[in-house]
Amino acid sequence: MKKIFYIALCAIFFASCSDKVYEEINTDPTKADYINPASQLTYAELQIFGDMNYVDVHRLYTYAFTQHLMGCWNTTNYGGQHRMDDNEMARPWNNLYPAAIRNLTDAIAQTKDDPEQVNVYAALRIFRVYVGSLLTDYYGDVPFFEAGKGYSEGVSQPAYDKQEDLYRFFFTELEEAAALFDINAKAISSDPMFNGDIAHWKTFANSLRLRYAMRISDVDADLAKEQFNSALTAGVMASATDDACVKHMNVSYSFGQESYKDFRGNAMAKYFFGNDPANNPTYICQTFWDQLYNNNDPRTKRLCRFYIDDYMSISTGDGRIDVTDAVISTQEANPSSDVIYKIAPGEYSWDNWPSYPSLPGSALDAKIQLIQAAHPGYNPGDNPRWLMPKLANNFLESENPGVIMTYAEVCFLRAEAAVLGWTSDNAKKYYEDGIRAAMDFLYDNYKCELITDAEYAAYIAQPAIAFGAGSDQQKSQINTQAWILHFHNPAEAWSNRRRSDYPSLVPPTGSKNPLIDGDGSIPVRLCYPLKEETYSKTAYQEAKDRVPGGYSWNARLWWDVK
Amino acid sequence: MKIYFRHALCLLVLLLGTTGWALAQNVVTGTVEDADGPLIGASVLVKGTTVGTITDFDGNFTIEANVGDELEFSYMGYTSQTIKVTGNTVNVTMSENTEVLSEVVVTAMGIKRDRKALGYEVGEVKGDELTKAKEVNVANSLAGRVAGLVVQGTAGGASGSTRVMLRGTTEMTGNNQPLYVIDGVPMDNTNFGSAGTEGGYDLGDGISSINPDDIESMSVLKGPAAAALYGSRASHGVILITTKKANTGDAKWSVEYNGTLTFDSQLSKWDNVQQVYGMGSNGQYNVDAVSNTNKSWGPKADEGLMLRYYDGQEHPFKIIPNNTANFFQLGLTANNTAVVSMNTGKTGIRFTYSDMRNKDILPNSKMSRNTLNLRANTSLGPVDLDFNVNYTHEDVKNRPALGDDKSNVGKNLMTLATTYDQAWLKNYETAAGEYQNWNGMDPYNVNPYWDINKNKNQSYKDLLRMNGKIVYNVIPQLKLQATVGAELNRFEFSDFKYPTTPGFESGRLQNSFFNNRMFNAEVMGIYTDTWGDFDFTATAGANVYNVNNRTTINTGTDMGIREVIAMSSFEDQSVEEATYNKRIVSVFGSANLGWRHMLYLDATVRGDKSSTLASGKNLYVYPSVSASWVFSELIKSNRKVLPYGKLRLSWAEVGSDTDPYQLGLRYTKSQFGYSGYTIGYVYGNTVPNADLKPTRTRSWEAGFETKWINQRISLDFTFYHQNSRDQIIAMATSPTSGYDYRMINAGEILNQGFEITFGARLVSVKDFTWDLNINWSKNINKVLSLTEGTSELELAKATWCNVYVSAREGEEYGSICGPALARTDDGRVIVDGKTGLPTFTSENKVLGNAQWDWTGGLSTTLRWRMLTLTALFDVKVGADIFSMSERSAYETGKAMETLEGRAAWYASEEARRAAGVTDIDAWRASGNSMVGGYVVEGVIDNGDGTYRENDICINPEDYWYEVSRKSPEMFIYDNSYIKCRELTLSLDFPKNWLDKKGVVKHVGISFVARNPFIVWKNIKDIDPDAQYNTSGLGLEYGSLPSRRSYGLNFNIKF
Repeated sequence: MKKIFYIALCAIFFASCSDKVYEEINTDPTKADYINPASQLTYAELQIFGDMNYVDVHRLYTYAFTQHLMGCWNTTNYGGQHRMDDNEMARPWNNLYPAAIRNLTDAIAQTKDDPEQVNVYAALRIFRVYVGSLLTDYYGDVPFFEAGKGYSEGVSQPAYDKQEDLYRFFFTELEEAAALFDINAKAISSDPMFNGDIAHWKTFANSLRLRYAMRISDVDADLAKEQFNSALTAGVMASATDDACVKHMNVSYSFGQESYKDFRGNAMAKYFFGNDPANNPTYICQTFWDQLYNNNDPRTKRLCRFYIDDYMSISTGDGRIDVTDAVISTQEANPSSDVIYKIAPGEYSWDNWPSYPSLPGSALDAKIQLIQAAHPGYNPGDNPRWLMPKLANNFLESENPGVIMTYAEVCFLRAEAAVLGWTSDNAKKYYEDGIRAAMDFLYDNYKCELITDAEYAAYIAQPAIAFGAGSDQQKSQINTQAWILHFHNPAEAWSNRRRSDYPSLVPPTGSKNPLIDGDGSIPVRLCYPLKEETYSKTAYQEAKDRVPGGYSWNARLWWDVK
Repeated sequence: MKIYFRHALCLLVLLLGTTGWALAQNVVTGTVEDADGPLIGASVLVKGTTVGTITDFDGNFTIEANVGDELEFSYMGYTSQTIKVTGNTVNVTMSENTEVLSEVVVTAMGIKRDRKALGYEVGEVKGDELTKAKEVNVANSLAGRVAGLVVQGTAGGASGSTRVMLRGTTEMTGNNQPLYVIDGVPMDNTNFGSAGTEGGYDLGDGISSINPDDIESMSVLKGPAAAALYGSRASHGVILITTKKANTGDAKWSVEYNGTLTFDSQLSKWDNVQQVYGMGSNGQYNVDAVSNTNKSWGPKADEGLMLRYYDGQEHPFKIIPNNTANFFQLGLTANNTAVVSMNTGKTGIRFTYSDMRNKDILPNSKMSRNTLNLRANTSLGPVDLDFNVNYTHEDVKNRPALGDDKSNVGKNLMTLATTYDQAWLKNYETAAGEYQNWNGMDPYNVNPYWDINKNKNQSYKDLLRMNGKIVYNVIPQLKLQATVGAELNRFEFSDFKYPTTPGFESGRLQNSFFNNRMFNAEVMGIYTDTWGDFDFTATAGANVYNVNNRTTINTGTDMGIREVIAMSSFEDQSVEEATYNKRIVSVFGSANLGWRHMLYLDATVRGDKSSTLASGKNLYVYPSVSASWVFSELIKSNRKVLPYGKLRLSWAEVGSDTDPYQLGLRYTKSQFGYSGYTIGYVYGNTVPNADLKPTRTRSWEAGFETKWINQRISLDFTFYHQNSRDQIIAMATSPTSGYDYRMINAGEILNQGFEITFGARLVSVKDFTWDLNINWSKNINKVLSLTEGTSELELAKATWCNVYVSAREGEEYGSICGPALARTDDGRVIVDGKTGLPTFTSENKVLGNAQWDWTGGLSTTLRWRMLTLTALFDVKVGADIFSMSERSAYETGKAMETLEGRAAWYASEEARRAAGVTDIDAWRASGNSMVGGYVVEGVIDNGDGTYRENDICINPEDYWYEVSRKSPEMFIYDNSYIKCRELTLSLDFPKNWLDKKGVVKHVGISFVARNPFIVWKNIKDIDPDAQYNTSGLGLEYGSLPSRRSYGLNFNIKF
């Protein structure tokens, strides 16, 4: 009896640590060992505009370098004053690789041998190219081919691939992937960009080739031309319904910890709202304002508004008092007075502190009296920042789309290709279609008031806007229009401006706020994170050494020769 | 409670009035000697009184005692004797007692052993050292008491956790804290949460729920040799806690009350604040007083000037010294413990109830803890049974947010402008109950009154800990025992942010539920025998250890119903789940051999099989051997000079596993639902690794223990050397790999050092004794290697200046790294010739180290009759700290040093404006000799390899703004300190003052103080113990003032 007892005891003891039992214990019951690869595509798509950690780079640097925005502390302090900050410059690097790149890479590996999954497989490959292009356009040579393979292939120090090689690969990859789509295979079940529509995926892949061909037009015109035409043949975006926009959701305004993990809302819109909205709203840079306003652009008042924010809600744009018409008309009626205060590149909103213009009988005066009737005790001179142009409320909505690529952009690319003689397209037609599409884009996506045919016609009839003669002027016009369009796609705005050098931007003059780092010209790349020196020393050093003329953020990328 | 104190105070007054009290009595004289002659300094005491004396150089004594009184004679190393007074002379011959030298210590597996048999160092703390000046977290009481044991509290205060380290860091990552074992059962010391880079709360740890009144003793097993029998979990040392059992003795019943009431106030204060310039920027204040509220870069304070603040109130623009100190209140901690203990023959029962209440110095922040403990033991023939159950309920309201948290009250107050009184912030809400904008909606400086009044956090902890032991004494030589222990720990934390709180504009509620279950079972046989000159003990046993933790975190955002703080009031809800399951099955054995009580040899072996490693790699066996030689046994004739001397030597290897689920890739979906889509991704940020093998730590130690001159002086010395290799590390990796970390076996970390313990009875005359104990330890913690191609592992990151703490190859563990100032070869700072600002190198350099060069403690006890004075000092020297609080003090113009150049700059600016020059560069270029300001000490590169002295005058505000964002080295400070940890003055009533019947056994009253003062520190403004978490070494931000407490302790025993 005793013996049996002891044997039983020993049996229980050893059974409790058999490898099978152990494996069960060491399996997290709350996590899966398989997930639908389309959900990983969803994650990557949403990250581009939904990840607060990543998109902050636009507020801090991109919009300052494109001179769309200026004046709020974040934009002026970093991009506006050319202040290098390792942490902030690392935002695309530290966030895109471990999220979008990792999951796209993983899902590609999961689906590549499964013919049923060919549609999602092709979409994953296309989107990985797109994310790779973002990275290389920020930093130059970057890990791509081996990136994201820390687990699948055990690569912990991926090589830095030359930008040149990457662009060449992008073309073949997009071509190959677009050819894979099969209407008979399984649909892409989760896809907030095209809702699984493979025809849209195809035109998107081909349109990206247009973009990348134009990007390398100065360094490899032959390949660029060939790819451009090949993409056109394959079929590119032909109307706004083809737009590649990621659908975002309306989530509440919050900067709490978990909102950094929540990619559902448009994070750029959240930053536009400001994380201290009443104090630090999004101001329009003088450069952008002048371009719109001085050219009587009907988009001026759709994009830029004048608001009194004293009664603004803390979490929505509610309560802002719109005084746009009064401010603009008063300025126009009193051209010698300072009514509108513009923020020059490199300036903080408080550097040129406005003062309320005492203009009795003006439209503004009348408007203020109305406001005072509704808000007794309101003193317009107390906080006169409402005399500076701010971004319109329409762009602060969480459900605004994440703009990846649009038909309007395709128009501008085709216009420029025609100017370059790559195609026989009608450059003027595409230029004008592009403007029209860019205007409609605001109505379609941001609930802006529709720009009427009359407004449009009046706009393009102006000598400065009407498609000119001579390729330099045409390129300038096309790319200036692209720059206005790309306000909604800051990464592309910066890249296309660096590539085309239009519009020509004057670097900030640092009288009040000296430029801190670099040679004084507008930076043309972000620096690699310093940590790479520790993690990937050899590859990092090689990539830096490859930069002609020495590595700095004023050193041009491979495709940026002019 | 109050009544007790009133009574006690009356008694105290009465007693102090009669201290000279001594009635004319019979005088007794005599001599005390041993076989060799007179004994000097032997103590003579009239039993049951405080009347006593000691013998002189000739062994003679004189004492007043009545005939019939009993005299107690005692002398260290000798058997005490009690002799009844019959006349005027009493001569005594004392005999040596070898037994006295055998000090019993609790060692691994709860086995009590003679200290001299141990081949390794064991530190000991007696429970009664912890019961008077109580800490809310008992681990804090250990500071300074044991050589090599380093205790650091956090800025979290009473409800926070404590970092305890033995002999340095052995693992690069992981918590590195020792294993706590209570009565043979390992305790779960989980820290449910701590502040990180982004801030957060310190949710406390497991050790904090131990009631010091239940502790009989704590044994500190520092090295692997001592701890080898506990296996993997003990690779950072073990603290064995033995709890009290029912008193044995004559009395069947005993009742004890122990109460402590302390008042808590601020220990550290902001003392380096300039008292000249007020709120504002660029030498100017803002008329609306709504911006620049946290900048003291304004004009000189001017009492006559009135400013209108955010709420319409007007206040004079004058310097308010200590403008934030009054935000804090006087805290109060009351700790009441009642003990009932009963024994009848072989059965003992001890029951403790303890109630701790703490009101923090931070308003609205409080905690309470109730502990019930029942211990029962009995013997049934050859079987001994011992059972213990402990229930703890802890309730904490409004833990302070720490670090860079937007709600960190300390951070938000510390930069408040010199002319701004914190009391003006009391109008924190609008009529609608929403956040009142006071500073231009700066989300990083939330009104602290809003945070403590509108936002709430609360935690509940229910902890049930049980263990039972059954011992079967088969034959006198053989014991079989089984121990079963279980711990159920349920912790709930709820954190609420009212809508409109900056950063949480739509409101937020987060409820976290932690359900931790731990089970431990062990069987063991112990065989003890003696053969002639040989003593022999052998043990063999097996152990199963199982952990099942489950965590659920519910988060609600977008508060739809503001009136009710419940998850259902929120529009958007999300859930996160996590588990932690692990099992280790072990077998172990040990053998000890002793020869003539002089030579001892120990050997242990243990094999663990852990569920966290893959099959084939999850079984690991490791041994230890140790020896001790009591060499004083050879020189018995010299007993009085060196009564005890021992040499010891040990070697051990310990294996260690890892956390669960590190072997394979897993997927999850986002906690946020998006109708129509699934947001899915690879879980975690670490590359898993199925090939992990156990970490190995090898160590050896050597040392001696000696007692000198009748054991009045003791001196112990230990040298140890520990090498951990093949560490299981989540190695930081380039994010381009897709992951931020990868699990690997790599790295080698070395710890070596000395520990010295010195004790002496400095004075022993008549009824006065003075004891002094000093301990000193030095640990060198070096990172020998990491892994191929990686030379650095980031351990913690700071929010500012790109600073991080790391393990760097070839450096000491805990390097504080960041961008360094660019310097010339001879060390001069290189200044930018355009901006006049310093320039920086484009690589991260080691700027400091967060580890202590050495640590020590000093405790002293003075006894005079019934009065005892004890003091405990904690010394830590040589660590650096990156103080982000100081950084803010400079950025915001509060620090004294920011005065430099201000007057000159403002004068120059005035002159410029008067001259009508708008451009500063033009003003400067005009060569205007009036340009004044701050000139950075450094040189400007001429571009041809030569340098010129910098002479560019800049705005000191611009200078400090720039360096406080880019130059960490300016804000890295030496964090050395000497702190007085504890002061107690106690009065123990002599027995003959108590009632004649002997119903009252003991009455004692003490004045107690914890952390009453800092003797010395090098860093200004903050407490050197102000790190915001227990793992982020060397980083401090926004720490709340640390607390000092003083009060009374009362003890009565029936």
